Amino acid sequence: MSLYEGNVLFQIVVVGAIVALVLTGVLSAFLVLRKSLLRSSDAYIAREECLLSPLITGVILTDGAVDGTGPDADWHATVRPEMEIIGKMLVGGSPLRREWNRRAAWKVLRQLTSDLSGEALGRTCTVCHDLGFFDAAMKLLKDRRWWKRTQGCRMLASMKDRKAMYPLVQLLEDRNADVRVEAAQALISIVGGAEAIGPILSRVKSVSRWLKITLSEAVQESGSSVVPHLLAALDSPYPPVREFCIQMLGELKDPEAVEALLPRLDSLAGSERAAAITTLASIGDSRAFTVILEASKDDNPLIRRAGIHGLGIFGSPEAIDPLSRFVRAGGVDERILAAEALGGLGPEGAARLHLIGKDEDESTRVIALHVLDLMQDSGADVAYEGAGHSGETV
Amino acid sequence: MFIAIQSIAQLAGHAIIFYFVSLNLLYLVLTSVSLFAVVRYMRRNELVDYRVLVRSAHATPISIIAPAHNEEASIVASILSLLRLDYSALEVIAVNDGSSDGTLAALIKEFSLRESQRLYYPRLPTKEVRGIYVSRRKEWRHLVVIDKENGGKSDALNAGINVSQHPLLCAIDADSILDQDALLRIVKPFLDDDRVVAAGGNIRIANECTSDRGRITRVRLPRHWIPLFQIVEYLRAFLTGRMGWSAMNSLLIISGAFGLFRKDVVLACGGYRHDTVGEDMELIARIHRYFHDCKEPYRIVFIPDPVCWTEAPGNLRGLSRQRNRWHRGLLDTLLKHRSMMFRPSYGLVGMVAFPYFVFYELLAPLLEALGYLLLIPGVILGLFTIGDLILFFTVAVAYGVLFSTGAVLLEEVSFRRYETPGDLLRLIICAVIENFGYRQITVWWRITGVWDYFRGVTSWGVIDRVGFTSTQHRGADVTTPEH
Repeated sequence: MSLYEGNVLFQIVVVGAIVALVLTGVLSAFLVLRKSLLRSSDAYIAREECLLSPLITGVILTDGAVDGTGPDADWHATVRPEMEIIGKMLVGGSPLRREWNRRAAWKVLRQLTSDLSGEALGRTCTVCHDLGFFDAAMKLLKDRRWWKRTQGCRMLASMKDRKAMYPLVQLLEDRNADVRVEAAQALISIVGGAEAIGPILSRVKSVSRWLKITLSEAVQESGSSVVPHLLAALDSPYPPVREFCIQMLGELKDPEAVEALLPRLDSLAGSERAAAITTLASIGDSRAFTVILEASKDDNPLIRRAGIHGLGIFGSPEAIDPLSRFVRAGGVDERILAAEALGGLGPEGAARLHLIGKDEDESTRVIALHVLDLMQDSGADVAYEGAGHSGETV
Repeated sequence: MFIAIQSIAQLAGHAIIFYFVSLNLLYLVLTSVSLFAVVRYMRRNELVDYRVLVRSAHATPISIIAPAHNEEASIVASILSLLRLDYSALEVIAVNDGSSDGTLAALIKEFSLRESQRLYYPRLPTKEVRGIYVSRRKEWRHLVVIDKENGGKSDALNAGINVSQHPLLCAIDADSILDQDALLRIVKPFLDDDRVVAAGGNIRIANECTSDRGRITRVRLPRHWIPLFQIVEYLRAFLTGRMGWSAMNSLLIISGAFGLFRKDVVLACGGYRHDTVGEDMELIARIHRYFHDCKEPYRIVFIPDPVCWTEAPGNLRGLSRQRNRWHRGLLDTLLKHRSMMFRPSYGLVGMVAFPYFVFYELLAPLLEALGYLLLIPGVILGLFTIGDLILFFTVAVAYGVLFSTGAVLLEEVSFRRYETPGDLLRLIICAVIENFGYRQITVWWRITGVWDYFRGVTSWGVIDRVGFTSTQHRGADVTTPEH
């Protein structure tokens, strides 16, 4: 019996294939044509950019005060004719042409907002408002599709208009993680790290490494002005937020962090405690040395490693003896960590490491020479008697 | 007796048709999932500012491991291109795997290497390491060169892992080229989600692309059919295959040419195995097992955006060796991990992905060949009707055209790496023609791969390479033995 003749299903399979092939052919033709059109549109948009760029730049650089209510020349009124011309360029023509013109205008404005600051930036924001880009972005923030909301955040980040701050703060609690990250990045872009960090830390529940990278950049740029926000966020109910704040306080090396962290230390566990140890070591307050030393002997390997590493960062010569003991005993990774910490204690630490490099125990010797070699690569002045035999195995 | 044979033949023929109907249904599901996954990926990552990773001290450091065997002609350019990748915290580990040519000498000379006291801690067993070298020059301080006895690619990778200092490992073929921002893109899943333990990047074919100082400067389609067909195959395999499996967290393979792994996970799984030619797939299978056995959440993802450019075999001889080896590697891995199959404790990997690879990747060439052998003569002998033959070609070939074309169209609506309408048209035509002749040849190669596996063949074979040069190169073939 024939499968094909005996079964409608298989006949559908064949007919379906034919239909699908025809549709695919049509789609292929459409996409090939679309590709040609896109190349034309790219060329068109590039041309329009060249036309719009001097117009828009001219508008922004025209003399006159930003605020039209003042006694000085009303800049906004002054540039109204040019703005009308630009506005007409964006609304004229077919829908496709309008879309391309708006894209060209947006590219020009985005470039200007990234290059300008101060009064010129303010005027650029006004132009964005007048041409409808700000409203379009605000509308996108309310879209039910998450990618549209992220698009809105990015547009607002480009415009750098402070009027967007409140809706962006609301989006920090959006149900979609990407939207939350974009909103945080947009806030930082618009108002700067010092002003944005507080609202961000008070609303986010987790800090992915990607968000951490963005926020840490903002923290570094803002410096000590964000310390109050970081200290306040130490009381956050969310451990990732607390851990992030502890790490940032260490990067800023702010002494206020010592007062905040020491009393909290006993209530911290795991990675938060390890971060606190590292932060205390970075700050270098003498009150923290005992705590760091104790951490280097902790049962928890994470805290123990933070303690060993911290002894190196802290920089006290008192750490030389304990670190020397750690180099001689324990797991290989921790011994290497201890040797690196020892090497970071300046000339005295390096001298001790040289000594350990002549130890009777081969594994200890090899570890010390390994770290001395690493230090040499990093440019440290650690001239040593290399044995010439490389690839020592532990 | 004749009637019995007739019945068996009919049954077999009909079974093969049913098989291909089910295969196409699965492809349809996979393609649909891939489409959504690609669209979602584009929406998430289109406008991400990756440059923040270039300047951030918090970017997770990466160790790139590039095994090399007898690559004197190209090793310096390859390593230079890796050292110049956009990434703030990078270590490049070149492993000279017992080369008999001047690979090591070329590296020592170019990078002013000196022997180092670096510790070699053999967490993973390897052949003897003869020396570890670092550069005297500050600009190359991120380079480490390991000189060791020949042990094969897996052994070289394991040696690199033993020396690496960073928490993420990037395994790469030394003769491939990464996009400048490839690391920035492939590391992002690890930054977004702590559960991600491995990520595979997209492999694209660089034949006749223009390169300059280790970077692809212009993407062009090759003029010859064989690499063109391979482009279509790669698009199908990566964009509509791996993307779909990745979305279901059931990805069973990350290309050895470009993958990023968490080092602690690779160590916990025992590193790369030496006794297989499919070491890349075998490691992923073990990672899946490890996390399912530990009952810990994890993700293995495929990222379509970061690109590794590689030279595809330009002739049938080289291609046949490659496909033979791939199929042997597939069979080897599936046999080694056969206990995962249909085990609910391994989730979708055990219940869907693994059986798919057994029944639809491994066995498909055999059944397709059987289909041609049964149905064409069968129609002549009256065992089957023309309708049956049409049905077979529809499910075995016509739907293949659809899925190949679909992959090309998906590439066009997403990444658009091929610039001109003419290029797109050529790819679409290739996607159609590929299924009439070329695909049937690859069926034969894959069948011989199964035969060679059971005969005990373990070699990698020799693939003729032209190599990347600063302009399009159409020079003499340089035979580079793969180790």
